[in-house]
Amino acid sequence: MTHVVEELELYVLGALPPADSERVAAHLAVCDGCAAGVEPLDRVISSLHDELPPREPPAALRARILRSARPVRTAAAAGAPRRWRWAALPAMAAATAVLAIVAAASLMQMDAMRAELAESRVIAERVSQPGHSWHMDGVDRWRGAGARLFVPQAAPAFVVFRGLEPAPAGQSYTVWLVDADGRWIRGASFNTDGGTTLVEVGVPVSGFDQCAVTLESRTEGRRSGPMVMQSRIYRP
Amino acid sequence: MSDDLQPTDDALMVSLRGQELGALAGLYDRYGRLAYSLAYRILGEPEAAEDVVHDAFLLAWRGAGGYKREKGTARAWLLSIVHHRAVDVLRRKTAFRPAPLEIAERQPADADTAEEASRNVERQGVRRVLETLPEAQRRTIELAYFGGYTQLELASLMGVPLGTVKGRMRIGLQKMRRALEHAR
Repeated sequence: MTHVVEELELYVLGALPPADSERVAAHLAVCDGCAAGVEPLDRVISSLHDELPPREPPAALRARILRSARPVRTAAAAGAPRRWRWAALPAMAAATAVLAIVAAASLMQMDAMRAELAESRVIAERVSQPGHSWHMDGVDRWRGAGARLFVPQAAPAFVVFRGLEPAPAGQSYTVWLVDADGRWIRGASFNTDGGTTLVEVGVPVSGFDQCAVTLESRTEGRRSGPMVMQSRIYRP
Repeated sequence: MSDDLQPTDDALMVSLRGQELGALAGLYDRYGRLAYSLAYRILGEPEAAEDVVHDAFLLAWRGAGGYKREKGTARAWLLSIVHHRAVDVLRRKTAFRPAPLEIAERQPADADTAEEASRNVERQGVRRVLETLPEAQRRTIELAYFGGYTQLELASLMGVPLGTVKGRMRIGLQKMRRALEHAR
């Protein structure tokens, strides 16, 4: 494991290139020794915030944020209520069923949490590999969602999505790579449950200088759906 | 309601993790103005700053499960999301990036309340600490944090080697840290 103590000042000031910043963040998530060095620097950064000239946000911003927020459904929470019906059972049986449901739901939630944790570790490990990346921001109704396409030096490219809502029924998201001549090459089609999602790109990324995601009704052929997010043009 | 009846930041973060909209509203009421001030300082445009704050609070809402108290305060966590988001937006702009200090100095304060007076005192304290730094260190820190410049861009912009940029940041932050500890 390569420690990042020498890069902490650059990291807290945001002066690292995005790929390095992601690498440092991934390392800090698993290394308490390096993370301990961040806290005193955060206090200095916090003092920079105290120095900011105050600006009043638009009055409508609070309501806009609350309107956009919606509860995140986990697989366990979404699935559990449909599996049992106990309303018609006698009282004792109902109580037993409730206990069983609570226990089963807890186990399911624990399994889901374990799976989520294991997935997070895989993602943290993969994004810490050396390489470069493209950042994508959601547009139009996908504003607030984001993704980063990672191109490790010695492994296939993949994208990590955050805050992307599940695709409507019958549709899926598609990753595209765009070359300097404006040609769009189709990558993986996928869906998401709204949480952090890792998607393998599925095609080689060399020679391309932009990536994008669209919402499509078909998993093959040319692009026809609306733009969900795209990166700026960047040639590594 | 008196201050001691307000939920702590830690309590708000627990509720936020439980997807309680009231917690999101509470955090916005507490830090929305500071978040907007930070985004505005970096971007210099009200519409862009509003979008960044909107997106940052949504990211906080969706990513509250990833917050770890032992790694920092809720305020620092939230403002780091705002900062990253604002710098991302800034870096995607290919046009000229105005120097953030010049923008900040042009803008008058919005309010003149007792709370504002108190914050002014805090700001003056931090400003004094910043002013104790050599000009090159202060500029490097401010351009990196508020200007969104990477180390390589700063080396090119200031016409100095990369190692000098890193040294200015490291020594400048160390001095600020010592000065702030001394001021307590």
